[in-house]
Amino acid sequence: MINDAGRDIPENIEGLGSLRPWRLRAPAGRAAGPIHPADRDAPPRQAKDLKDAVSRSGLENGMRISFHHHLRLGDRVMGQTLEALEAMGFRDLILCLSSVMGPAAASVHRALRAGVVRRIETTGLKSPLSGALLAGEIPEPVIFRSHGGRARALDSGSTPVQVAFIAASTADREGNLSGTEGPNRFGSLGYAMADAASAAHVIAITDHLSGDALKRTAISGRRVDQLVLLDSIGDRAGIAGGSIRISRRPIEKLIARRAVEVLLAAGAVNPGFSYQAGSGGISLLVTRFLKEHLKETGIRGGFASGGATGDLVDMLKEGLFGTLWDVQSFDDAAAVSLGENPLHREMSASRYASPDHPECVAQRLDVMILSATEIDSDFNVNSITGTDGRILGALGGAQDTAAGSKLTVVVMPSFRGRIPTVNRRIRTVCTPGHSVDILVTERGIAVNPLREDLLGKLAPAALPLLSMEQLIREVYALTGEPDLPPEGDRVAGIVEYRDGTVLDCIRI
Amino acid sequence: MRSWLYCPGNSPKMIISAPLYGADGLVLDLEDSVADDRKGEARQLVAQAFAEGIVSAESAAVRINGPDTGLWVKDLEELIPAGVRMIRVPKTEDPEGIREICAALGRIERENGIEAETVTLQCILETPLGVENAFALGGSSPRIRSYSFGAEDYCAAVGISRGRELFPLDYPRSRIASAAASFGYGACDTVWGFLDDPEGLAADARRAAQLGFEGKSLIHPDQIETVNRIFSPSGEELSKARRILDAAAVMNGGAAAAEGRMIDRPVILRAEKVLRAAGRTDLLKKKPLGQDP
Repeated sequence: MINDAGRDIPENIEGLGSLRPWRLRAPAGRAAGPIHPADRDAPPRQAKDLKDAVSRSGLENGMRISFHHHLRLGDRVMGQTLEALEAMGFRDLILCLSSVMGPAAASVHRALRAGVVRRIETTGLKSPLSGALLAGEIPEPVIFRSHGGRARALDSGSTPVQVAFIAASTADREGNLSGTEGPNRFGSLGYAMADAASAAHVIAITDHLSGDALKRTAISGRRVDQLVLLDSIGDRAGIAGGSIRISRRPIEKLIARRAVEVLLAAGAVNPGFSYQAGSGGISLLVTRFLKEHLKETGIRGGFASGGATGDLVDMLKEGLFGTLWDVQSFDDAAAVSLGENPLHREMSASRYASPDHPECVAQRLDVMILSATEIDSDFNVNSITGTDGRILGALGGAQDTAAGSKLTVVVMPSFRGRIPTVNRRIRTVCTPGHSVDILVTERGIAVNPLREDLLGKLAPAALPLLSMEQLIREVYALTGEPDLPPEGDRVAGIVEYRDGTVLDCIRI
Repeated sequence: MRSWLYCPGNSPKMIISAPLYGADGLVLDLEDSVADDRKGEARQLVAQAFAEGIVSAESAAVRINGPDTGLWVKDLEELIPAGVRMIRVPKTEDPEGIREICAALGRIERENGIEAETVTLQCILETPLGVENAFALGGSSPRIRSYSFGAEDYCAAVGISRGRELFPLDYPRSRIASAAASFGYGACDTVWGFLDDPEGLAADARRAAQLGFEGKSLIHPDQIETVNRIFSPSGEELSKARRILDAAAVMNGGAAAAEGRMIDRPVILRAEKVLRAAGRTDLLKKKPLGQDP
């Protein structure tokens, strides 16, 4: 069946059941009712070790377990847990991840090969899992969900988690958890807050047990069933890793400066405005240049949200934004700030981006700056696969923030390594074009024809505006039209929209 | 021209991007930034960039290999037919060298049906002898349009350790700017090599502007904004120049007073120069920021 993004979606996949195709109009009703596990009225049991905790968690073969990726490249919890599960003989588990990278991705790969895991549900995955997906090593299609889509699925009960394994940088004896204290602090526990709220059983894992009450609590001990103390939850140096990179490339600086000019011309930077930028190098630069503008003009924003960085922390301190809503801290400066600054607020993935959350922050955004791997002539955005089919990125919160914000700007170079990123058809639709407003590249700016109002605002600013087709032609004149590797018939990945319908499939 | 951005001739990635950054001019380099075993490849890439219109002959020059290398003739033979019209000549020292290059250019223009003296020269003065001969070089060919100062080789030859102090270069800069003005040439200052010191770049550019240069060569896109700003007339300078010309328009020859000073011929010429520079830099036309050249 063909969905509203023009993609062919299978009606049914063995193991997953029937699929709902994405439609421009959101489906009414909910797929399932929410789970409300009972809060504990006593402190959590302190387990001897991971195996001891798992043995009392009610986990059985084939059930779903969850992890967060707040420890990023330094995560040692997922690996130790999967090793314990393998040693205990568990099979065919479903992994529900906020994302996976670095050593954690390698440990999931080992668990897949050992048969401990049969399915992965995640916002993104990195090597060696990305290679395993393309090689057909993962038994069931990987389900890609946005951060908001994952939180919605957890909250609604459509993806029930039996055990949530939640790494925290500190815990007290009542089981209250935080990511802002302890030797391996990482900041916000936002993604795990959604897991803790819905999982049938929560195992908290830390390497720092505080004798005193925590300065601040992210997850209440009433939602924690067992506590495991490890020697170390992570590698300090890797915790600030991942996709965070402030670009020094001239082309990327040019794009970022243009993006700020676009925001100004569009009239989006006003007192009280709300703002979020993705974790790509250009997006982070946009924030830096926007900061310069706000300081020069004295404009004060309302809130910034999403992944928190040192730059956003500085802007909060300088009063350039009134509040910083933090679902994930990208660096140590953000982790420290979250622990100290009351205006720096921790938010759950549900509050951040779930379409069903009544106070969804993404829905209140004025400006969203997105990175992408590809974009097509209908402004559909690919953020998972490259033009050549390799898996490069993740869904992250792109769908959620694009749908929620009043102005969504994609920033990207028009080609990378001689491969065009602006194409007539993209490999994988990850964010539908109807929620994307403007593309800013080094060779010109394209405005979605659906946003005639923006065209009217940008034209007088004499920005280098092009139609998407003009831009594609200009890029192909330099690079040639890409001769794409063919897709196969086997569905190895499913890209869900935030409402749970299917936007696209990754075929191998 | 306020800013001339150098771009290695053997880097297709940089050549494709270079026109996007907003420099007034580009210098595609075949000389120092290209290794000896890459010279032929660079020559082909630069020729292709001009032939396919990736760079414009009106705003892009090519720095050819030096007169002592034996490579420059082949550079010209391949580049001029591809559309190159501005040549930057390194290590210019004497009129004889210029005449030799001009003879080759004349032959290439004839052979390719190009109008005589279409190709112009920007002479780089980067040796003590070249600096001393700045006046002797002037007028040696009608093709010469500007002098460009090359401080690195000059400092090495004189024994100056180029640092962040500005005064050691005052003499060569003054001599070059003065000679350029004598012949109606443009004067382009040397590059600033300390990429991690933008304040130093600004100070260096201001010094060059005070000594009479109209622009500066650059080695990184990050330097463009600073240099364009420093070599552009300020709003106050523009207003003053307009007021002077307005006052001059109503006076009947001789001298008048405005702006608290006497308005005579040199003052009028200076005001006209400021407005011309503003026109060249699009300040008067209000060209949009970020507009592709």
